[in-house]
Amino acid sequence: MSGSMYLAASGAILQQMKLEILANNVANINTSGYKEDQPIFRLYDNRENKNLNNINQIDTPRQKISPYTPPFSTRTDFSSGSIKPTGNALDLALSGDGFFTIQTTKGVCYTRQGNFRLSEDGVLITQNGDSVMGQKAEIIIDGRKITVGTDGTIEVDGDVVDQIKLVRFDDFSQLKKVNSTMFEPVDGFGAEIERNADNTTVNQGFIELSNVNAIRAMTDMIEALRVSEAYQKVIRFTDDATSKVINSIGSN
Amino acid sequence: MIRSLWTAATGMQAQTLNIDVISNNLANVNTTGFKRSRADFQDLLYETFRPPGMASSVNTTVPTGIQVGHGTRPVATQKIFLQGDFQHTQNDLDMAIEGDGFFQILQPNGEIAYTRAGSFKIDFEGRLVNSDGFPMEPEIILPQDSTAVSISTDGIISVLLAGEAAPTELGTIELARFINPAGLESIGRNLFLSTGASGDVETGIAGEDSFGTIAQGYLEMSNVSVVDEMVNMIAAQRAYEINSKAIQASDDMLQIASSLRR
Repeated sequence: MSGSMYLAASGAILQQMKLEILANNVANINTSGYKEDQPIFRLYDNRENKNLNNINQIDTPRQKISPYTPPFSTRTDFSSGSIKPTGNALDLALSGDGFFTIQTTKGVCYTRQGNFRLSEDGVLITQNGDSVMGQKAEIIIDGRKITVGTDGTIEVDGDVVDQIKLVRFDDFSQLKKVNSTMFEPVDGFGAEIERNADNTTVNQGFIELSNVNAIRAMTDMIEALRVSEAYQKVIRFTDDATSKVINSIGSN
Repeated sequence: MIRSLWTAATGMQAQTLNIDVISNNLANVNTTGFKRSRADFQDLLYETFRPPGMASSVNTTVPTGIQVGHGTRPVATQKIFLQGDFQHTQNDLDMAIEGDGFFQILQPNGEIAYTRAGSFKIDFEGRLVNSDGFPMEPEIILPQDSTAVSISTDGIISVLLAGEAAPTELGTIELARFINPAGLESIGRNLFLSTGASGDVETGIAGEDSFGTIAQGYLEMSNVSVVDEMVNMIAAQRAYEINSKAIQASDDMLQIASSLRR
């Protein structure tokens, strides 16, 4: 049978996966601190000595046909979302490429979602109940007037109690998404990848919105749909051609 | 089936909840002492087909992995305890708390509830009660022949009795506060209950230990900002719409797949 049918099918499956990723982005269009995922397709090119000069030459080495699962990956866009004022003292937005450090039950995670609250004991926690890390341990706030400086210094009723631990990373590929708008270090990385986030400032009374771009999400969805339609046409066309071969030529 | 159908559905459900919260805020835009809420969302689990940073050869790692998410979920409806605007009512028994603190209300079941709505009245026994007739705690009883009521900023209630020149002190309003008021439970009727998350109640005198002061003749309006809520509503509606488009796209894609075989 024709290989092109399977190639088109694998292409259509990838478009479906792309749509799944886009759907997750639009589902989180109102999730503060959410970072958009982008599907990336790369041309699988086995030509050797590829250079622009010989691309149009007839004697270009023959390109191998792509494997049925072309290289595909997701990349998280870590660009900042817009900042929205809320006036709430425990809403903190970061500007710069740093992260809050969160102590969860399964280890240290990082997040940009700064809509924190206090526990019954006055510990600064995320909406999930995991504690936000200060310079040494969790941050305990016992008092009424909470002021957070741009460097993360927390003042309660005029006294400095702690400084929020902000970290940044040399390479975002050291992080992977877990649930609850948090990132965790990928296996094999620990605290040694954390860098001091000097370039990051904390804005009290603001939250960072999702960085999903609705217009691009919409056009990407249209594209995914039309591309899978094109693959459908390829499959049908191949089917028609095969049918001709079997029924017209083979009938004699 | 295609995962994005359910992923986008979680987005639509989340925005429905968002609109529910916004509608309740708007419905209470004129409710005395109302504190607005906000729905907070988080992303759901990710399916990791290939983690980023995985070795692609002995010396190289893949810079980007494959992670597909499963949508969003509401994680909290957070109460925002910002001060509302003050409305001058000139009513002697209207009180607003300027700063932190709650009035304490004794419910018929014996449990203490907390409120910022200071529109008090007098019942047939002369007790200071809220609009539902629940008495303030500690109980304050106004004598039958009292004429003018005055409430000081630190909560001392005094009345002028008929035929007397000097005012008589009746008692002091006690305020309550919590380390984490956002953890209080709303039970309707402008009342809140303490929970494990709010922390233990701490009572005190208005004006002391960073408790707020009491303003007589004023009411605290709701802290809902109509403009903010309208903008949030527009954002929620558009988010809902784009999620429905994602479902449509998934449906169309399935239709394309199912029409492969003629």
